[in-house]
Amino acid sequence: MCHLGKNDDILYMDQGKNRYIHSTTDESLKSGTVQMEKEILFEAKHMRKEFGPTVALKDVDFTLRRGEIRGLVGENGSGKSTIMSIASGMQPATKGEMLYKGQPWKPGTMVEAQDAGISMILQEANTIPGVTVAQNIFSGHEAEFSRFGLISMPKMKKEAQKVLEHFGITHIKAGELIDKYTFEDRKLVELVRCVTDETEILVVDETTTALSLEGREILYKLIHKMADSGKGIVFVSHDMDEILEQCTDLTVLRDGEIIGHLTREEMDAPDAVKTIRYMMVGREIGDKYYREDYDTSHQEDVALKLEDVSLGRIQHFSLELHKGEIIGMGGLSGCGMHDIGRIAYGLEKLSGGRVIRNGKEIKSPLQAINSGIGYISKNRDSEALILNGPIQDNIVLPSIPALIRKTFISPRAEKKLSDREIDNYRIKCHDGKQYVNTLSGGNKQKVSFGKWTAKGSEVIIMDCPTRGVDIGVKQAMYGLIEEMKKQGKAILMISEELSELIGMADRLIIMKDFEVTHQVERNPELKQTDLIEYMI
Amino acid sequence: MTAIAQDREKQNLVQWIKKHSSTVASLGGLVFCIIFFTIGTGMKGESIWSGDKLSTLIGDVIVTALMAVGAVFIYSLGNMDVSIGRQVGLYSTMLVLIGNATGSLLPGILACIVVAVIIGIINGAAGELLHMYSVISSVVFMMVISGITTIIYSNVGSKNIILSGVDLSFFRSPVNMVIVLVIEYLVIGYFFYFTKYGKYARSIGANQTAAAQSGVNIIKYRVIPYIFLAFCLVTASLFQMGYTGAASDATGTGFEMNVMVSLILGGMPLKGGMKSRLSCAVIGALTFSLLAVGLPIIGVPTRMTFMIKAIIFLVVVLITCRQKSGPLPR
Amino acid sequence: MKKLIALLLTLALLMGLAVVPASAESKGKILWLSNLNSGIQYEFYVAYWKMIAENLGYTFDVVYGDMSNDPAGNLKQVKNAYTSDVKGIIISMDGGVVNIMDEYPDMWVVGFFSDMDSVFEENGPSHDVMTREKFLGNMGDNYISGQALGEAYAQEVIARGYKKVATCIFPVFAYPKHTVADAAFRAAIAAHNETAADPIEIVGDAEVLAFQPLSDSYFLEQGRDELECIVGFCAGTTFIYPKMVEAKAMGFCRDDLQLITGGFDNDPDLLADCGDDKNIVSLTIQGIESAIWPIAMLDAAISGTMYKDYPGQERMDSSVFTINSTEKFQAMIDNSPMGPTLDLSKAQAQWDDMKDYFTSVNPDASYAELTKYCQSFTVEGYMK
Repeated sequence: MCHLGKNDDILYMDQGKNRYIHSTTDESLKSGTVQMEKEILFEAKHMRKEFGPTVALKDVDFTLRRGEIRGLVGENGSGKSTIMSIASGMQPATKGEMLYKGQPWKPGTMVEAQDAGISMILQEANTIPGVTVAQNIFSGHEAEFSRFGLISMPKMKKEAQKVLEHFGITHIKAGELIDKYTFEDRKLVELVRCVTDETEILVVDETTTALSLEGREILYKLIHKMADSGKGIVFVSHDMDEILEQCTDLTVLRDGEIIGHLTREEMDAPDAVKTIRYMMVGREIGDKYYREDYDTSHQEDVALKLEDVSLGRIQHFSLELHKGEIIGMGGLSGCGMHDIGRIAYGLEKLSGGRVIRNGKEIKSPLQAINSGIGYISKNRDSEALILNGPIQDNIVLPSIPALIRKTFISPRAEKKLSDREIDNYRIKCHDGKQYVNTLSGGNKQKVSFGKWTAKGSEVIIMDCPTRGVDIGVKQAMYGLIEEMKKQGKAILMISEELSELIGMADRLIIMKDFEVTHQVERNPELKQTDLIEYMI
Repeated sequence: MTAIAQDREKQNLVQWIKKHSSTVASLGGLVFCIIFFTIGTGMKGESIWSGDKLSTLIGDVIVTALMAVGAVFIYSLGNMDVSIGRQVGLYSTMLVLIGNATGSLLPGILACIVVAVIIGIINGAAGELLHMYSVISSVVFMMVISGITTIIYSNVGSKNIILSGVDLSFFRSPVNMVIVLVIEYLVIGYFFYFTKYGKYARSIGANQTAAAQSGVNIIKYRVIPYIFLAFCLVTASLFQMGYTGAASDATGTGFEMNVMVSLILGGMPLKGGMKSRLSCAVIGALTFSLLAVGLPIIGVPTRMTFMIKAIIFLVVVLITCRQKSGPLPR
Repeated sequence: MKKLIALLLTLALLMGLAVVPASAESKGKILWLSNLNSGIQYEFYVAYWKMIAENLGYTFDVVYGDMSNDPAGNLKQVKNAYTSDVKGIIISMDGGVVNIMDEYPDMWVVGFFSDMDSVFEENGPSHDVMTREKFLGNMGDNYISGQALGEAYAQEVIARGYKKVATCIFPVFAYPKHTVADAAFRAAIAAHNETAADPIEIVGDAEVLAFQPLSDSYFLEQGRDELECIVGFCAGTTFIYPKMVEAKAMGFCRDDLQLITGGFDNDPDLLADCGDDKNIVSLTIQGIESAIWPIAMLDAAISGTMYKDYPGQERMDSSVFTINSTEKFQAMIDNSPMGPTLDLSKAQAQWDDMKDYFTSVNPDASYAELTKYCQSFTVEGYMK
């Protein structure tokens, strides 16, 4: 890969195939003249960022104008989040300079940046537990509600409720403890906290994967409104559909460099998705993405059976998962489908019914593991993985009982097992000793897959397996899941992305309000729009 | 070697140091103390490596090190046990009383092990079963044992009691101290690094939810470390009591703090987890004792030694404590 | 930032250590295993001994005893502080004397200022040292026997004409002296009552304070609201006085309740409340100049010129300061070294006064005279 244009590269060349991929010089120049009329809000020049020996950004020039909703896409580790994390004061750049509203810009902290008008919403939870929604919204601004050193809580609550309503959020009550709300709702509270009238630039960093459908609508409305009033939006996402729908401009990054820009017209081109994917990955990823067959056959043996289970609002739920079958479960995030995953893994104490595998009842994760069930939590970082631990320890953890000889666990056997999975999944790392928290999202998820393939699990319950994973890796994972099916493994795939459920599952179950509202077999005619009505 | 290769070499070293900053800092602290006191005491015409001082050093370090090696197991869970000191006091008292009654150490040792294991099991399980910080149950034990000790000494009618008729010379020999410490280190090290007990303990400390979802029986593997600690505490009590042949109502007071300070000086992460290392216990205890033994020799007035220890503690903490683990950009 | 602070602290430390004074040529070092680590009494002893040690040609350092007086703890402290030039040690902690002497058989040991002479009695844990040559005897904290202390307090009560009193002690296993003193006190009062027209009532048994302040409910119990005086054999300024003042403010006890106890502090607030018509009416403490005795004994032993009339190790009282009048309290503030600020020049014995009692200065010095001199200091000595 080499650059032909220095600034805002629009020409690029793939060295491997030695041919020009795409040239949009003319259009860009045209749109450039249009852009000239808009005021530049933020500018980064020759920005470079190193993490030790890793170079996250190499000499990047980036410009954001008023009224833009700028999409940033790129594979994990491409540096797309890094640019804005530097702009919003989360970390300093190694080299380069920034201009904000024409003035040199060098924020020391995120608070400083936020006060100056650059707000960033992160993928990870960032609310303060143990206090109310209102206190979260006004954290750092308590003084506005204080008289004689005492904070007026009713006043703050009232004001917070007003702000929430202003954002179109009606189901969150300002006086309640934040802990009562789901991850998705907490994300909305964070949004409300970050965005004020003074916000000039809003950075949305892969937040939408953490939002429910309603939440996304609220966010989309907000950013369009902000863009219309001359603010700048930077939208970092993995979700190509979303990017194409919401953004006015698109910048693609790869390996710490800007590969190209797309204007709105280019994004509307029929082969835009393919082009963008190509730019991101740097190679043809082929047309095959999801499964291509429509063969829903599976073995007769039942691998996992949920018999009339009840838990909380879920009543009398039954399910039979067969060997070699992929069952997809979809719905809004609060519909109860995630609970089904936890129930099937023995994580919940049931008020009725049984979970059965090989004729035995499953009552705890330990029993589940021993009978060959694996579970990948949707909260990957907090539940599925030990972030602050080496890859190897994560991978072998469920397999430890099998590695014990007398009491001894051979480090060599551990390494062998973990290296096998690292190779299998092509996890990008130096070796198994590398800490998981240094890996990108996709590689982290590979580690949590590896845990269960190392263990040789026959039934795998995967809750949002591709959350926060970019297409290159997603594609690989779909391939893996398909491979598992062929090997006769039974898969329960719970996901908030309808497209991947349609693309992968043999049978699809849609839930709403803790009840199954629809079931459908895999078929080529299945469309997202057919299913959404059963979800909402 | 080309300039680039040299550069890379340098960068690798910097990386290694950054990655192992806590190890470097804690080991550095020890090495610094060793060099400093070797030179410093030499200038005063003394030597920290003289037979006398060395045995003082070993005598000073042994009890703390024996306790700390066991405590690493607890700290790796992210737990803390503040009843350690009172437990050592109780076991020392039991060893003297039972030893005087039977004329042998063995029955006392067995009785101590039984009591220690029971306390350990309750201590370990209570936190998880009753959903409270495990340190709370150890506070309860600290108070309960303190009360029991007071009752014992009130009944005995003396502030300190002496074991007579049992040969305790074994526990006074620095060589034996080192041998026992090495054995304990190897045994605990085996369990900590090469068995599921240690692996599970560290996993629980690093992320209990993930450990549970990976099939770790949380209660069981939260309790077992306390049983290892129980054996270490009885061993420590033997040396605590064995050196003087005496125990008092104050034996063991504040030992839990010595253990904590030693572990921190040794670079142990207080949150526990995968970065827990057994060597922290010995490195930290040695550093701590070197300061205690070395500073007076180089002529530092006693009242200043507290301040110096505090400064060194602060320096190590400043270097080893990692930055708040905030979200990292992809 | 953190690294910078760490670096600065390290530099400060190294520079600090660099200026540690090199020890001058000396006849050896004398240690004090201290039972205090602050307060005016502590400051006085350190300064006084340092002054004497320098005059005699020794160096002097303090070792803080184990906070809980644990034998192993005390031994550990001594071991850590021990350097090869240590020749003698003044022991104010009673725990572990035997262990310390076992560990350092060549070091001279003398007891001073400990409230626990009983450890040296037969069957006491440290009795063994009474037959060892290197042990030079013990001079207690005021009266070594509880008997004498109890009787002294009884005389004070009788003289002041209280009719209702109560006593407080520490637990017997920790401070056996208090129990003895309490019994002696009761016997003396009983003897007085036999002839007195108006007998003195001792309300209830002695209150045992387990190193905790007097309980909040103490004055609510029968008869205690009528008390005129509390006799605290334990450290009353710390453990009784604050609660007593509190109870007065709440109206739980008589307005004229007074305290007889031991311990001294130059805290102006406390001293302002001492005197005939104040809350604290009498304080009994060790006569501080008695401190000449232990260092004189060590000097004689270390320099190999032991007093010719030394009869072997003895256990004895020190001088006693009974500060029991407004004038005496005033004298302590104005004329003693333990006034608002430490002032050695006010001590009753200056170097020139005492030097002839040291055998290394005066080979003909006598043990009997030394002892008598050291027991002769009184609080009246400050009232010129």
